[in-house]
Amino acid sequence: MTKKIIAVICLLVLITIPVFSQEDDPIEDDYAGVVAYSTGEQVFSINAGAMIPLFNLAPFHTADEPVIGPLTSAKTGVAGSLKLGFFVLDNFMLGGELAGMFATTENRTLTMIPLSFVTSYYFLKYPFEFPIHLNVGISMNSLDEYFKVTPLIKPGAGVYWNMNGEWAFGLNFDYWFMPELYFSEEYASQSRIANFLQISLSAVYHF
Amino acid sequence: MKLFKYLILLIIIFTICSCGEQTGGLFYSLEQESAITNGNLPNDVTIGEMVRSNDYYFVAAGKFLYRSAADNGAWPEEDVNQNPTGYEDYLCYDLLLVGDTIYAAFYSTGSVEYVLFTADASSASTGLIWSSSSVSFSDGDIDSAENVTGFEHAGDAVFIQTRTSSNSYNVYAADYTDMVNNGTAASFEPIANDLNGRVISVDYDGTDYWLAAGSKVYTVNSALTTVIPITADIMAASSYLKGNGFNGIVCADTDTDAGVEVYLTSEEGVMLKYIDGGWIVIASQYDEDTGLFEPLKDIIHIEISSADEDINILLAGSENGYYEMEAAASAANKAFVSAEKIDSQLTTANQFSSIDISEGVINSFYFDTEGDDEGNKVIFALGYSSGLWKNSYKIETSGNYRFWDVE
Repeated sequence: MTKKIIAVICLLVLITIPVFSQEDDPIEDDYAGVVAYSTGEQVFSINAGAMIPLFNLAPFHTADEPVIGPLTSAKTGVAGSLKLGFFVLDNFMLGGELAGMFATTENRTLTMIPLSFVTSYYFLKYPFEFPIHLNVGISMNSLDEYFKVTPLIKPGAGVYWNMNGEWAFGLNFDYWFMPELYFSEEYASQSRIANFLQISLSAVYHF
Repeated sequence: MKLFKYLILLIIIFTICSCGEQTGGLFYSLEQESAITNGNLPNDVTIGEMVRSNDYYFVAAGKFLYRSAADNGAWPEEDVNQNPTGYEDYLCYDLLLVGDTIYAAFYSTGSVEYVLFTADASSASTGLIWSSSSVSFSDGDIDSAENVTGFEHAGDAVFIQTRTSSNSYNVYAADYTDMVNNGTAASFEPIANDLNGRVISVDYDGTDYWLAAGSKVYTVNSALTTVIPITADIMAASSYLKGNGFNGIVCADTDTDAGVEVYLTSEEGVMLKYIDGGWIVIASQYDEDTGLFEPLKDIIHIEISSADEDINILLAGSENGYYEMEAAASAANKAFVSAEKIDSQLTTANQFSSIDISEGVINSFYFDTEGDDEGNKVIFALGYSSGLWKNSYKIETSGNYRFWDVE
């Protein structure tokens, strides 16, 4: 489990390296006008990929219980999303995302359908762009016939290659934090923050 | 803009708490879940009876079959036949264990022939040697068309049901110790005649035997000499009872008050309890509006104590798995929960565990208090065309007693 967490952290660090290095490396003037997003522009993206269950955190664990629990019964599933964004400032986007994931467990089927607000900032180095984003929303989760609505916090980053002025293709890494908290004495011990990693391919249309 | 504010508010609410129809944590449930195992016994067989002798389980599963009781012991492959030689095509429908001797009842659908065999269960490791057998009746041998259709053992008595040539049923009883000592020479005394149902269920409350046989219920004293019909008292307890039959009876000291209670299940889906000298209805699957009902099958009392948890429940088989009831609750109006409903009402993690079992008919249960080689208590649910289900209660870890694997 510890190895898994370290691997995830390393992955996130690796993702962000090009992003932060970009801050010291100004966009080349020749291409700035080609790919920079101006206020009023829009993007629509389709994402599809894999959903990797990582682990559970137990926020109200007792001294005898571990903070981190396994999510081993859930297998790697598939995930996808549709995202529409509006640039309210240069390179700064607000939008909405409808996503979905599907995974089998040892005996059941886990389905999650998040609906979230998304905010993104794009770092640019033509022909590549490096968006970082944060989604906040709710997720409608079902496990066979059982249904729960939980909050969703989804930070992520990506790297896209601009094929032309309209289309870009790339890879996204999104980390799903899904708190399922209970405050009653009866169920508090079952409170968990589920952690998933989504790795997806993206096709982005600018207009 | 107002809409935006409401959406933000909604997100904040969901950030603070989760909501859903059922209790218990969904992600916590994922943490606890483990795979339901499916053994090599066909999942569509009918299990007539199950017994354990020493380290072996024996089942009447159409064919007679046995396996080691060690955890994950495999049943014989489908092409292996453990019936007596020459009777490979006969259906094994009931078993009785008397000491180390197994009585197995077989039936041929072609010739409408019932045959009884015995074998020494202690020789299971090297292969059973069958002996053709018959039992002795104090009123003389049963006629050629009268055959043994079922056995029950309770307390120090063995009850045998036979079907007569006129297609009615008789019940006989013999002393268990006498059978251990004298085998088939032990004499069976008549208890009840001309019954209209073939199911018998018996239990012993420490003083008397309680016998459900078809649509009749009796008490029999411990000397097996006095038989008292009590069906009328029971029928008076509920207008839902139509005389379709009683399928299970169990005696258990379930309440905090003194004495042993008797629980009875009926074909009309009514569960009754005998307490303070009278019968009361404590649960019913009878729909008064439609007149439809879900029959309740045999019933068992399970009591397990472990360091963290005490299990004290009644399980009643049904057309859709089983129903469960807390036995230590107050006498009336106990929550009677179906296997299907259990999933939505569980406060524990294994909300998935009883889903599949609810898809089959469970006729009866077998509680192996000796348990497996890991020290787990084991409950078996015997299905009608729905195989054999196994539930290992892990004493050491307070495992979930609602987790059913398929044998």
